[in-house]
Amino acid sequence: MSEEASLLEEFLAESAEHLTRTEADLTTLERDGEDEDGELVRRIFRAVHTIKGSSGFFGYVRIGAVAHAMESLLDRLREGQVKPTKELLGVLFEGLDQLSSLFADIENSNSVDTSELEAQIRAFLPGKSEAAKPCDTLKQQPTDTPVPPEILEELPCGHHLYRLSYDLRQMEKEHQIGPMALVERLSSFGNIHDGELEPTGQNLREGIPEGVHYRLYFSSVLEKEFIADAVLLPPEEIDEVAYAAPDTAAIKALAPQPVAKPTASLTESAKPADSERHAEAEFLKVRLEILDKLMALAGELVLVRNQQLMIADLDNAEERGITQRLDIVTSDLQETIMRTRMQPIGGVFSRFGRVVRDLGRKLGKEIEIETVGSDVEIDKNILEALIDPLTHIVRNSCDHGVETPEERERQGKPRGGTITLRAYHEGGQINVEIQDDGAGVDREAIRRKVLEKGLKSETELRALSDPELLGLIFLPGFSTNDKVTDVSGRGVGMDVVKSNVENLGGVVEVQSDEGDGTCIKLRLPLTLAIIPSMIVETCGQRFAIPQINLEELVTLYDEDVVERIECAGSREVFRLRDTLLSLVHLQEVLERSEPFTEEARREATERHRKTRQTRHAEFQASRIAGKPCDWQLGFAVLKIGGSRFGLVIDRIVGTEEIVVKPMHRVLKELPIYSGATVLGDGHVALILDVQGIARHSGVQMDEPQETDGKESKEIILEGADERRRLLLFRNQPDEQLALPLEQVSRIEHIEMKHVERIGERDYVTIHGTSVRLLQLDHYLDLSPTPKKDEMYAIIPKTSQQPYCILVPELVDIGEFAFQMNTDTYRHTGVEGTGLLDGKLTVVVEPEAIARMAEPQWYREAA
Amino acid sequence: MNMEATETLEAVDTTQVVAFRLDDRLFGVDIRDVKEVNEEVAVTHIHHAPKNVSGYLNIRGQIHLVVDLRTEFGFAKAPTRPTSRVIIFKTSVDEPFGVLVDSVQDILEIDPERLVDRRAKEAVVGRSELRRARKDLCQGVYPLAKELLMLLNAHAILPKEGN
Repeated sequence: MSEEASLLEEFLAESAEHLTRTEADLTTLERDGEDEDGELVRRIFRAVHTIKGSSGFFGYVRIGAVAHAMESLLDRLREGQVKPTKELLGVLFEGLDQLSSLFADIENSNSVDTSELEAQIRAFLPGKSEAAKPCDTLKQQPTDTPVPPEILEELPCGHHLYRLSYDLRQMEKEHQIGPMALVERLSSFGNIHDGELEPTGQNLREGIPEGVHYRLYFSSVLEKEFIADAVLLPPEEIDEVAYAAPDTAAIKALAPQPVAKPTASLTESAKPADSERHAEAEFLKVRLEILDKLMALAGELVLVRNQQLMIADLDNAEERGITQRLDIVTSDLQETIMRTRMQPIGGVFSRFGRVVRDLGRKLGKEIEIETVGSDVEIDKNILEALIDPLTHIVRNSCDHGVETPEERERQGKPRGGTITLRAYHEGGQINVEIQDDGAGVDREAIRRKVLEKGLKSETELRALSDPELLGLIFLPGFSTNDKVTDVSGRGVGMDVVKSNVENLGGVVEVQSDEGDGTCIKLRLPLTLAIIPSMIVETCGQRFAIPQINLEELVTLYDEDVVERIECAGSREVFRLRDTLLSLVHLQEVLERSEPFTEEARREATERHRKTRQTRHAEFQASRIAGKPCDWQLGFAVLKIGGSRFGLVIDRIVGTEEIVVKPMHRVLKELPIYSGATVLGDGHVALILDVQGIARHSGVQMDEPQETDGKESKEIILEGADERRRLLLFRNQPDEQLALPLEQVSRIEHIEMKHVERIGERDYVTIHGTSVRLLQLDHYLDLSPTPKKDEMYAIIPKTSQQPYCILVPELVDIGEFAFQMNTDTYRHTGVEGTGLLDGKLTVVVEPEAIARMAEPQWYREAA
Repeated sequence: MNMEATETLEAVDTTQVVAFRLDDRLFGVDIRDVKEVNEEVAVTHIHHAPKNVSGYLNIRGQIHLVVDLRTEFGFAKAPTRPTSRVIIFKTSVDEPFGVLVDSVQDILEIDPERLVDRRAKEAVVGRSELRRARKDLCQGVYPLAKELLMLLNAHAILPKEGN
């Protein structure tokens, strides 16, 4: 594509901007009912005028014609000759819509019949008699080519009419000004009439051909001596063909338009143009393509920087200095480039004024829009992708949310409903809320629709909580519209909104109070591109966890691994300061491609518990044997919003800033990944989607902290005055005993056939050492200990001589709420009794048992 | 990669095909769909991905999805060899992706008129394997001097939307 074809692109892009701004301005004008300083109308006029002028360059005649009609009307509006009534503005809206649709199919725009619309617009123009032309005289210069009479008629008072001719190629070369920029410039000084390309039939779609001239009539209050500079032509080439001298007496009758003194008007009309242009100089129009390329390059630079960090010799002071500087510059560059793509969300919010206006009219409702946080900036890509979902939600609010004025009055609400669009930053994310003060979500209607469409059964529905019921509106195929109107029930639906938002890495929620209105909240990441992350390793593979989801890292060493991880029901938990954190093993998540069932959770928890016990024993053995050993378990405390859980990983690698690449479309459905990235060493690592993992594993997350300590969902915590760390075991099935964990060194698994009897004493060899085996039923009032082939030996922490306590069945290890009673059952060897899980539990003192069994061990002790 | 064409026909309208081997059988894809052939084959496994996905591969900073055609045809899994390559397809076919093959042969010119039908396809990959593979993936079989080549449709390798 040649550079010059971009002229057409430029025209399309600029016209689109003009149309969008004009729509917003017209909406404001209609809502306010008047235009105090005339600024709005002037702006609208200039936008339409520019479109008219530029369209001529490309031969889009219908666009030019519609724009011309609108311009004539706007001109009268500007002069105060007509008032901005609802009907007049209405026809301008229609003109705007027609222009939009012509632009949408620009190649065929010339074959569209716009004559009716043009007539409708012109119908608002004041008749010749009304258009009190208080101009005294129309002085005309003699000229060979007659001036078209319409132009003379339209010539405002105090304006000069010039005939200008531009060699466009030359203008570009000499003054570096393209055709459309030229039109804009001229428009700021006056009005263009009948601009034409010569030779006729030419257009600039392929660029500026040689020898093509742009001829036009130009009216302006500027006098000939001042105009040369403005129009960038030498005075000899400017042809003044007419001048409408103002009638000084009639001037006061005119609306505030600076026509009194040419010099005064020169400064006045020049000033707004000037200051506008000056303000414009602070902004630069850059092709999006270039910004995207900049973003990509910044991403590559981050990758190279990461690679360099890996091979840098940080001991060398010079290298270290360079590495640091490179790091700083790269981060700054990346941040700044990201900001170039940030745009205020107000740009999107402003569209809805029109949407709401049209819909309100159509539905016979009075609806207003309010925006809060229009300044909040979002990455352009996210912004673009938000337009459709937001539009759908707003339309929904208008259609289903806000009630008719009569209904609202009946409810004691104000007749007009309000939709509030709110945007704000929070927790590193963008929040967008659409709140209406309408009827709220009709729960019954949801139930009905869901049953009708067979999306859920009666029983399933009954089991749903209110938030879950509301969530049903996101099911595909759901729409509470009976007839498919073109308002919002196209069958597109909230499910598309949800998936669009989720594709951006965001979440959407509904909150609604019946009768009071609905609030739809969207939460989105600030940017998709580069994020800081923590690299972890599991199953020999590396994964990235976005820093934003990471709260802290915990590593447990040695005995803590088995002592501080407890099992509650089917889950493993860790007591993190004041809360109980549920743990999930990343390995389990990776190995199961189906969401976890309760069974799976139970099985995994049990397996890990046994593994821990075994490893504990091995660890203890190594310790006793004096072999170097270390045992550790690491997990990451992950958070989504305020809720947290722990993810057990094999190893923590380190932090890295990564460039986020979206998942391939074929893998987009996989919930546990939110994207992929290339690490510093060139390997691909998957980025974990924390919410996806939480849902997949069904982990029970902890609630955001409450300082009044009311969370007591755990049975373990319930009404606990006294908490003790105990090892629970059973003698007979209905006899539960416990040993204080602080006194337990380890648990060994023994086979009864290895037990040796010497006289009255039993011994068993554990890791090469002969250990005295004590049976509790010999010393306490218990039923006989069942003899199984395999049993457990509990080895105490301190002992005079090696001994262990024989246990047929282990129940659990953990911290329990336990009120111990030391009075009811007094017996040597029993510390106390109490109820645990409704069962009477006897807490044993191992030392006392040993003393009973082998008093001679303790004789020497002082 | 050997760029020589070993078979040329006088037919006017020929298609150029990149020939490759999988499990010692010969396959080909239209060269117009191929972006490049790359030696990098160290793929990152993706848990939970469908069976026919080998994993992700980094090529010059861009992440490509690598598909294992073996599962498509029911061939046994095999480790990569020194001759293994990844054939990367153009983005006009789909989002960046490629297929892992045992070796890449020559570029052949074939006459589309001479593509043979289904029964011949079975001769190359076997009836049950053909049934397992998707119909649109196998465009036809082309008889060469010493063996048959199965022409594959690159656009049919990845499942379409909604599948």
